[in-house]
Amino acid sequence: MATRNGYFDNGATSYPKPPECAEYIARYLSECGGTYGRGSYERVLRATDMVERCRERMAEIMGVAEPASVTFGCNASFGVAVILRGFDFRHGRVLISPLEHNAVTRELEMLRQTMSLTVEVAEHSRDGAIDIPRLKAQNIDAYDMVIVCHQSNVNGLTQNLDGISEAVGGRAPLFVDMSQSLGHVEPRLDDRNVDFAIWTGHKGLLGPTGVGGCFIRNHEKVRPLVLGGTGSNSDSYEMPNRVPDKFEAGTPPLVPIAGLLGSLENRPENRHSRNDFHALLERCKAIKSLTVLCADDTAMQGELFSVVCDKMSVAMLNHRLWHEYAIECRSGLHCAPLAHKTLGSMPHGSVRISPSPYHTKEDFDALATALEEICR
Amino acid sequence: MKHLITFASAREASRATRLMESEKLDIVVTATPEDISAECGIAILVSPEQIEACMKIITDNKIAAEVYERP
Repeated sequence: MATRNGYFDNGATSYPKPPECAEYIARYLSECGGTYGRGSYERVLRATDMVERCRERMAEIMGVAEPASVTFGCNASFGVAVILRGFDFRHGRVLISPLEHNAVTRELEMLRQTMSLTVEVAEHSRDGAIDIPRLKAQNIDAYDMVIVCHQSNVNGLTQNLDGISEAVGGRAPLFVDMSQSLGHVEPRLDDRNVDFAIWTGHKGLLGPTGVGGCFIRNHEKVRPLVLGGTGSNSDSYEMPNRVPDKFEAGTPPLVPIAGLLGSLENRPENRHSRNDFHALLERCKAIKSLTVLCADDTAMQGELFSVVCDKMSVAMLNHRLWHEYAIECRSGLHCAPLAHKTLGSMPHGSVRISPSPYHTKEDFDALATALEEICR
Repeated sequence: MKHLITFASAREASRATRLMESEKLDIVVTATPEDISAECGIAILVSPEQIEACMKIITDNKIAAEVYERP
């Protein structure tokens, strides 16, 4: 009997990774080990080249023409801090989607408390999809920024970025959280005139933890957050006014960058079809005691959704999935209380199902069967 | 008389080195001398015969660089 892949928590972090992820890390550590940009000998040149090749790959994936506008840090939350803490909020007002993650909402709450930033939620339908006509009709010029979680980490809803970009129409900077969507959906940031974005390497990109960051279209609009050595302009006590150095103080995360490059250059073929995923979703919707948190429009459905069973708590459902069926999921609020509030699943949260390209139809069938048996 | 090309950042130096090596240009990567701007510590030494080809790469690819003559 084939070993089933019961790991359905790829929304938290992806597993497995392509084998090249670990191979590139091992090769970097055992054969190179150099730092970035701070020397002119072969070891440094190879390490620097590795980082820049990864940056260029990331730029292609994001759909941006200028790789230097892609910043490497430790994760997406770091990227949020870089952008929001360095930005001048002249109007003191931002508009956000109703499905934002705490990576964004916690920074905004801090700004609300310290500088009285007003945070408003865009009008939306019951699954959290932003109402595009109503967005267009709003006085966007009165906002400092429009912030959109591209794909919800709770119900998998993928916002209509074309429509949002058109509705915003350049009247305010557009900030996109790609933490969940990157690797699954093309963000096409240049096509959509996105000004800021955050990303992480360890979810849809199948890379290791420890690398993520941001995209900043015009670096003049953001002051640097972390100040330190860059290996450039070293005679000055000020950060260089040039990207990527301006936002990359200190030694970059070379080890996870190596792994990320390995994953990006060796992405596996998807082992299931879109129809297989939708069949799983339909089987879950057919379970009477289960409420499925997902997009109302299947065209907006990413490969992630949540469930709540009215016969037991989410913690108990999660417990039984693991202990009786070896199925690994995350239960709770998923660091997205605003999303759960929007979807009506506060305060209990949900059990989240987030597959990866490695799942097969048979893995989905086993999961659906487990849910049917537990929830009958 | 050789030419020394310095760069605005490690990224620019890395791009230039990669492109010049792919064209099999004879370049020597070296540390930026202390009497020149410390924008980036990686510089490239180029013979007079190679400088035109190197500058074409820099111009065509919009690489932020400066060129100095060195004995």
